[in-house]
Order: sequence, then C-alpha cells, then structure tokens
Amino acid sequence: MAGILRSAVAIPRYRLTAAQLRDAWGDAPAGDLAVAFHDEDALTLGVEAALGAGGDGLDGVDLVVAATVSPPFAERSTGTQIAAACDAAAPSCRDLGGSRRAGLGALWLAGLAVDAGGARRAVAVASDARVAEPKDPLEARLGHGAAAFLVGRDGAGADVLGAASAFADYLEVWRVDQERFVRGEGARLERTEALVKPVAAAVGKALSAAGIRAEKVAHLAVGAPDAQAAGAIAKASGIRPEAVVDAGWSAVGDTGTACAPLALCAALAKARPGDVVAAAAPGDGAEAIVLRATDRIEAARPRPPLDAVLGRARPVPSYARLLAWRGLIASAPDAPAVSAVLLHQEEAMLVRRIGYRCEACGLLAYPPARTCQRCRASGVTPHRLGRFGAVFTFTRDRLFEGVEPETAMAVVDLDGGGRVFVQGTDCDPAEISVGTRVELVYRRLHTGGGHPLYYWKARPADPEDRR
Amino acid sequence: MSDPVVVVGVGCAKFGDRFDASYEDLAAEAAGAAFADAGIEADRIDAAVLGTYSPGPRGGKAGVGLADALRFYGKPVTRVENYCATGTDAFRHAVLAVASGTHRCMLVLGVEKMKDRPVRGVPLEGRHPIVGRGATAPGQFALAANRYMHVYGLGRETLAKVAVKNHANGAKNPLAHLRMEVTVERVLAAPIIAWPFGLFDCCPTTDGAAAAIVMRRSDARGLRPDGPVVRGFGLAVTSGRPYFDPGFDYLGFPATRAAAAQAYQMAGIRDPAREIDVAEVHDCFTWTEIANYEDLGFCERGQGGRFIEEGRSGPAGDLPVNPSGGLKSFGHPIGASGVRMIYEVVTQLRGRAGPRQVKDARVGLAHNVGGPGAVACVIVLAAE
Repeated sequence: MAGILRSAVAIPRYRLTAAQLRDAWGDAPAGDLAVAFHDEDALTLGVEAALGAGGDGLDGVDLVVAATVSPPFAERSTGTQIAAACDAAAPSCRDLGGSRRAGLGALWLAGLAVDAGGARRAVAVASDARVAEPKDPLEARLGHGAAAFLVGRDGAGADVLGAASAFADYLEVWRVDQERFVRGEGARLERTEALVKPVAAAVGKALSAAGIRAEKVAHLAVGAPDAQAAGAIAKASGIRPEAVVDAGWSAVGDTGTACAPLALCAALAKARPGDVVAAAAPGDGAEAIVLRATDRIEAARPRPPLDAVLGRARPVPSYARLLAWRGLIASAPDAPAVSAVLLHQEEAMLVRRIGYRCEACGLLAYPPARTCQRCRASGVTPHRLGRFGAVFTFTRDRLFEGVEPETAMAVVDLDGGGRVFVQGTDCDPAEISVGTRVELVYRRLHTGGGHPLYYWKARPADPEDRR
Repeated sequence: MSDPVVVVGVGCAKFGDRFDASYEDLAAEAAGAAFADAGIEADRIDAAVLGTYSPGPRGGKAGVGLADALRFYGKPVTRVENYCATGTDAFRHAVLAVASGTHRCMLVLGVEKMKDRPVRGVPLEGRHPIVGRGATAPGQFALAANRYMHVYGLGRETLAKVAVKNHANGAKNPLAHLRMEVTVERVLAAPIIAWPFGLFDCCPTTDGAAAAIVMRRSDARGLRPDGPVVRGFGLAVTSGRPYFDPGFDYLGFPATRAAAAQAYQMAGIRDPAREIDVAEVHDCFTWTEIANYEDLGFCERGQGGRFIEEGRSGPAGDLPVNPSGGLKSFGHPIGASGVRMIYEVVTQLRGRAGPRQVKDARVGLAHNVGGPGAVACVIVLAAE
C-alpha cells in the first residue's frame, strides 16, 4: 500500500497584507496573502518543496509528478526542471495541470504508480503562483505556495486508503490562452455547483473505496477558498465540522493546485497514529484521497514545520513594489538570450550545483573543472555542493539594474566546502553581511531571450531550515 | 639594459564628458600631442599598439581604431585588451617590441569612449550570462572592500580620505575630468553605489585617450634628452573568477603582488617604499588604492588605512600617490588609463608637472589592476 513518507511546504516569505490591500483599493479582504518575491514562481516554489520532501538528489525517486496551473513555461516540463534542480538522476517526469485539483491528482498518480510497481518512490509536487489582475476581486484571494510529498510503499507515515474523483463542468475560475490573469465570475451558484457538490461527492466516493465512515474522519484537508466553504463541504460530506483543517486561508490565500496539498500538510502536522485524514480539492470537479496516519507519522510531518514557515512572514515593501515584481509596472530590462547549447553544457553546474572534489588535495570547489584550482592535479571528480553556508563577503549593489533598487551579492562558503558567488534574496539586502548564515535557493534570475533563466541565490537561513 | 627603452614623448587628451569628440578624435588628440612632445613626425612611427577595452561603434575589435584615426595604414598595429590593465599592458608590449629590435619607434595609444554607450558604468563584455549575474565593477571591488573592512576594522571615513586626496590633486590638473575638491563629509553623504562605495568612492565614467612613444636610447639620439627610461615591468594574470577560489582572502590582489615582484626584480628595487618617489596606482575605487599600497609594498599588509590616514601618500608625504588626481579625479577611460599614468609619471620624472610636481622625483611607478584582481600590470620608469 502506497503512502506518504515525507512532506514539505514552500511558502513565499512576503505577504500582501489585508491592510495593504485595503490601502490600495478600499476593500477589506479576509486576510493576508503569501505572495511570490520577484524571483519566485511555480517552478522555484516547486523546487523548494520537492527538495524538502525528497532531499538533494531525490535519492531513490524514479517518478516526479508536478502539478501547477501557473507554470512559467506553458510548454516545457515543470516536473523535469524540478527534478534537474533537485539533481535527481533521471526520473520519469509527469506534468499535471488544467485545474487546481491537479495538486491532489499528482499525489494520487504517484500513489497509483507506486502501488502498480511502476515506481519505487515518487515525489508529488504541487505549486502555484497565480496572478489576478490588480483590483479584480480575485486579487484578494490568490496566494502562492507549494507542497510536496515523498511517496513510497513501506514505512509510510500516512497510508493511502482510497481515492476518487467527481465530475463537474462549471465555469468557476479560468485563464485563457495567452492571458496572464486568472479570472472568475464569483456567482453564488459556484459555491454549490463548483465546490460543495463535487467535493462532497468525491470525498464520499473515496471514503467508500477506503471502507471508512464519514464520522471517522479526524481531519478534513480541503482546498476550499475559505473556512466557510470548507465548513459547508464538511457538512455535506457528513464529516464533523471540528475536523476541518485550517488551510491557511487567512495567512496564505488560495494557492491553486497547492491549496489542498498544503491543507494535507497541515493535517499531517497534527495527525496522531490511527487518525483518518480526508484530503479533497475542487477544480472542474473534485479529487479526494483518504489516508490513515501510522505510527511513523512523525517522519511524514511537513518540514520545515508549518509554524516556522508561516512565522517568518514579512509584508511586501509596498503595493507598488509588488506590481513591479510582477512586471506590471516598469521593471528590470530583459537580458540577451543565452544559448541552449551553453545551458546544456553547464546544466550540472548551473542547475545541479555540481562542483568538483580534488582526489589529490581534497579541495571542494566550484564550478566543475578538469584540474584542481589549488594543486593543479587532474584527478578531480564531480561533486554536488551543499545548500547551506556562511557569507564570506558581500555588497549591496545599486548600479545593477535588477527588479529591486538594491541587489545583495554574496560570496558564500558552503558547509563541507566550495565557494559560490550569488545574489541574495528574500530579505532586505542589509540583512546579508560577513558571517550571515544562508541557504541556497533556486530562483528566477532574469528573463533572457524571451524566457526565464534560473540560478541559485542566497537567502538568510533559519535554524529550522537545516536538515 | 645597456640600451634601455626610453619614453621619448607623451600626450594626453582632455579627459571628461567628451560629448564633442568621437573615439577617433580622442585618439588623434592624444597621438598628436605625443608627436609634438617627442618632436617627431608621425611617419617615424613604424609600429603601434592600441589599448582599448571596448572600441564601440567606431572601433572594431582589432587595430583598426588606431589605423583609421591616424591614417596609419600598412604597418603593424596590435590591439591589446586586458581588463583594466589594458593601457599599461599595451605599453609593455611596445617596450618589448622595441627592446627586441624588431621596431625602432613605437606608438602606444590608449583610447576609450565610454559616454556614448547605452549602459551605466563599464560595459561588461564576455561575462557569463548567469554566473555572477548582478556583479558590477563597483560591486566586485566592494566584495573585497567589505571583507577588508571587516577584517581590519576600517571605516568608510578612511576610504573617503583617498577621495579627498585625489580630488585635491586632480583639481590642480587641467586635463583631469573632475576638477573639484571634496570633503570627507561630502564623500560620506553621497548616494551609495555599491556598499561601502558611495558616488565619490568611485572613479567617474570618462572619455579619454593618452599616448606614449618609445624607442631604444641608441635610436633616440637627437630627440629631447629628458626622456625617462623603462627600468622594469611586470604583468600577472590570475583567475578571472576569484569569487570561486576558496583560498582567496579578498584582502588585496595577488596579481598586483606578482606583477610588482616581476617589475621590482627587473628594476633592481628591493625596498619600494624608499626607492619609489612617485606612483600612479589604480584607484578605481577608494579602497583599491589602500589595497594597492600594501600589494605594491609601500607598507605592510593591513597598514594601508594608516598609510592614507598619516598622509604618507599625500603630495607632501614620503611616497606621493596619484599626484595626477588618479582614476578618481582624472577619470578612468579603461584602455586610456594606463597610458595616461605613463604620461603622468614621465611628466613628473621630467620635473614638468607644475603645481602638482613631486619634489625630486627620480623613480616612478604606474600600476593597473583589473578584473578585479584578475590582471595587474606594473611599470617602473626612472629619470636618467
């Protein structure tokens, strides 16, 4: 029986606060929204979550299923790029999208593949950074984030007992081809037709497949847009209202495909062995998965801990700056194209963080080379660099034309060896100086030749990020 | 050297925002001044070296920028480009060619036109499009400055004193770009470009050109007798990616130390602090000059801050540095800078530097460092 071995979340540090939105448009939104920094998108959030669940190298993982409805590349596999940035060997990669229920769909597919013997271990990742048009009521609802699960057969912290889907064709939220913004009509009918009915139907079918009665559900992790909708779904499903798990409605927002997976992570964070967890996601129908926590649930709890992730929130500098991050007002100029041949040649170095270790003198250094920088020996072998380290030196550059007025640059000595030179991110540049502990995160560097380019950046690390 | 190489003439264009002049105009201005200074006709030049970092729309990555500017056709023109050491390295190439006897009279021309480009600061060519994205010239030197300031406990006030000194020197120089004095307060209050460098910690973006003519002494009979001789030179190239070197301490530049060691050995200099009378060093940023004091052996490692604080590099100090105003005030058109330094050192050694003349200057040094720290070139000249 397939189950969840480990789970992880990735939530941007920045918040568009309810107060900031009110200042901008006068409405009073329900809560804060987690919003991607200028260098974050569904790919980078997916990488962060996948690394959290699968670890560097995604050891033993032979399937990556990535779900998103806001991929930075409409054509080019998000799953493949996530797997590469995790330095996975050569897993089979599948991409899901179409509607936000694809997030739970990824978990379902991963479990199915493991059960069928098509994969020993799989990573299911759901990530989104959907953008609504400024002032559209949807703007006050959409948040950004990702969740990932390491799925395997033995020793899971939560076993999958049953899964089901439900059909509904209702024009609820959509984004047409070549359109940047997600739209929605917001008619009251969508509450019943697009949310409550299909989700309750899917949950009911999944529970019967699992042979579990609704009142036995200890945690209902539903990717509903708000607590009220989740309560209505619980009621329609015959599940106790106390079972509803807070999916971050007031702290994060509706994170698209990641919404139900994040709620499932919240359920895994508090489930006790034996607890039944029902996860459900709406989106042009619905998806539901029923799981039971095992005595290994501790290992499957989300990392970093949800409270820690949510606790490091900081408001966006201003609403205007947020619009600049999205490229909706004048921002950084595009850069020239980078040859695909160069990107291919240097994939190990640029995407997989591969440096070398010198067999003769032991030096660990970057980038990959034929000979050792220190002793000039030719016996060097590729070696993946760590992700954590300390700043050796830094600057805060205002000449560089980045999205932000000031760009932190850092020379970082990585734990275990190797030195890199990267931009800082996720903080006021003044927070990076000599000795600052940092974590390398995969981020959008700039747009060149009409598409985004990615590289590693340093963000101030929290102790709980270390694993 | 029994038949040493002599600098028989130097010329320098007016540095600054030369919106009035093209690349070729600047080249002709500097070369013409050098021909007049040497008292020779252009036809006497039998080969030339052009030092240019980025020739721009009128140049081309070849020797054609010089050939077209001077109508110098059908003869050898080599273009040299070596980051910010381009100018001194171009000079070094001419010295080598003349010393070998291959050519008899060589023109070194450094030219850079930076104010007609659509970018701010130095156009970064040949950079990796992803690795190091975000690095600018001030940002790269700032990495070293911040480490140095952290290790040695230096403040921005000490850096500012380099700007104050060099601006005061440049204010006396009619060819300098920024001919105004600044105070420590003004330097500290200026907008930050790349921490810890504010606007006045950075050299300006400048248009300019400079030229020098070199010959062997035996070939220069009959020309002006006060031409200094080339006593030594050194060029060192280290990694262009110092930020990946786990062993790099960021407290100075090994390339400068290596180039200086070569030049000092050739020149027979054992104690540079005592034997060098005047130095034009690469003060692209205020901190760089402080590091140069140490790397060039003017003081011990870690003592560069004291060297400026105590006024030792000032006009009345025991080793005046950048009496021209330096890159800081004179300006830094990349390829022109090193040749402009040769111009200043020659002028000083001839005793013709007017209000900025260093007393009893007999041995002078010119130094470029670029990359940062990837390349350095040192030239030692001496009055006969």
